[in-house]
Amino acid sequence: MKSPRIILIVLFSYLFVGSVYASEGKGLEIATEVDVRDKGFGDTTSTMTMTLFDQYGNSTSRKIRNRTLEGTDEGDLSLVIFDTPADVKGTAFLSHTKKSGSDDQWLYLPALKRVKRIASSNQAGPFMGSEFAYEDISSQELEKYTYKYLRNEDYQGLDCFVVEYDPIDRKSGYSKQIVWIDTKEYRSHKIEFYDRKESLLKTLVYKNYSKYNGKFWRADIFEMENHQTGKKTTLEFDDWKFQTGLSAKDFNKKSLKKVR
Amino acid sequence: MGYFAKISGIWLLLAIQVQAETSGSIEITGSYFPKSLDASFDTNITAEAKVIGYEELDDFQLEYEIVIRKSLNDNGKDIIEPRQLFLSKTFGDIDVYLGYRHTFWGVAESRNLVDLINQQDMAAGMSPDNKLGAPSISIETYLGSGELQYWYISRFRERTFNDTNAHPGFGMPVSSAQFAHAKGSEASDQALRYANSIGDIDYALSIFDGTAREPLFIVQELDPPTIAPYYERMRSVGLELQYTGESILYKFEGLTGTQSGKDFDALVLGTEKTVYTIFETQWDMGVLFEYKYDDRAQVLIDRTIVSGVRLTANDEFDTNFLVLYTVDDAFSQSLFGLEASRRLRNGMTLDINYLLYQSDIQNLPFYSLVDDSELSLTLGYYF
Repeated sequence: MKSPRIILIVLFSYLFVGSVYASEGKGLEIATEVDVRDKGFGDTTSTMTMTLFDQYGNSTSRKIRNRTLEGTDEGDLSLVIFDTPADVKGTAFLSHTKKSGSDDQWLYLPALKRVKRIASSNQAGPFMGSEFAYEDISSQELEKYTYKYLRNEDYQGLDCFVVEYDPIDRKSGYSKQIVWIDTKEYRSHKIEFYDRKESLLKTLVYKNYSKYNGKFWRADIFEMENHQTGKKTTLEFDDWKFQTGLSAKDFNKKSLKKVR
Repeated sequence: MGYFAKISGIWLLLAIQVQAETSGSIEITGSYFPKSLDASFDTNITAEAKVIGYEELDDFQLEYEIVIRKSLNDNGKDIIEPRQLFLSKTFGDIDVYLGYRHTFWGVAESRNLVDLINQQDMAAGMSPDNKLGAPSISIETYLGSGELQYWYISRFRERTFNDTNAHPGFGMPVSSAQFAHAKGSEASDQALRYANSIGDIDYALSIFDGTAREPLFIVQELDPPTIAPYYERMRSVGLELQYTGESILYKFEGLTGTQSGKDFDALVLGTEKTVYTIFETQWDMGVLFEYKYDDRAQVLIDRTIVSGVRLTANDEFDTNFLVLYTVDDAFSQSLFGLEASRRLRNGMTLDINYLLYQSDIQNLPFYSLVDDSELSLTLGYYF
């Protein structure tokens, strides 16, 4: 009786390992395709209105400008400039995303004329008091997660892959993210963020996608809802521009001081 | 035309052509000095307006940051200051600036030894944003991946001081400054700085040749006695280093050179460790520690140790607290400082500052500052 049982166990474990392997493979394939379809965007600029809603519905807004340069060997370079609230006007945040390890980050404080290099392990911390963490707004490099394909599901009339993204970095605030990606254009439509205790923490919904330069999809509205606090943050993007001629020189410490 | 008249003229000119790129602030500060002596006042109100602007002209860019300050009880604080008022032009990779300019050199938190370009607007306080514009021609360019700056500062800006009976005051009138250089305040300065980074290390090397920013004080036995600031000539080399780890920073600033023929050395060694999302809240806590050594004659205390805690709420009001405790190496004099700030609503801020000097030993510098301990509240409106 022993040998059939062993065979059964071996068979079962092969099946199990095989299926995990297959779903990891398919998850990675989907994430890779998302990445590939956005390759070659070169650089983008946009303006953004960030509105913070507290649990009572009171809101406060801030205006931010974004500039991004697509990375070649390493991750993307990005510059965020604050226009309001007026007391932080001119403050700028420069980030050099790394495919692995911590990003390099600098902050420009206009009243002091000081460029400050800052430690970057605060990725789980909130960005500007919003429901977005630094890791939610930094560039999504393929190497930062492992992937697991879960199922196909209809989301608002679109056939979507549902993929689990597991952050590799232990300093991430999440145990996992569940991402809905449409099977036609490979755009993310919804992300559920689970905290380190595996409880649902936040949901991000992308709305109003438009296609730029005949290839690159960008959503105009990001809505992030925190289920544990009842707070909400929306990002409304405006004025997306692609291939504006930005270069690495627009993303260094010296350029940070000259930011307009 | 007097200095104030000239500046007012420029101010008017700017006001006439105010365009979309203008912003600024109005701050009202109420101060209370709980240990004030009879010879001084125990409350004060100061108002400060700042107008910041930027304009693209045909061939140049014009940038300005004008500060106007008026204090009820301390005329030493009164100022109309072109902290920035310059034209700039870019030639390929080279940026040239002409006029009054404000910059920052250094990495440390409590004291920036290498930050020699601008004079401190001391009457307004020790904060590093209280600077006087440097009348200068400056050139900035790239050198490989690094940044090279050259400064020619055409004349010297004297440090501002509080009134005789103000906080802190000398208790006697401040008379005209004296200088080691025969040209006095007309003597020029030159400075050069190269900054770059290798991986997690940012570094900068600088040279300065000019009038020392911090004066010595000479008591003149007149009737009544007065005190005269005396500015030496200084030649120095500065080094800045910062290592940025995942949640820790290590900092070094060193300055070595000569002052009117006498050698000096100064350094700041520091570290700052940040713990993010403490106790599962959105708050961050930074713990910082800095050691300072400075053997220049005009420095009040040779060796000081600064330890501090920074709390950041990461909320929509940008609430944060900074507590700094400074002691000398004999633990015989100390300064406790608390800064708290918060946005009340869009465009309005509230800052609370508390400074407490302590010492029991009469001939120590902080003993004479005990009556300058201050609690202040600042309401800011930004536009």
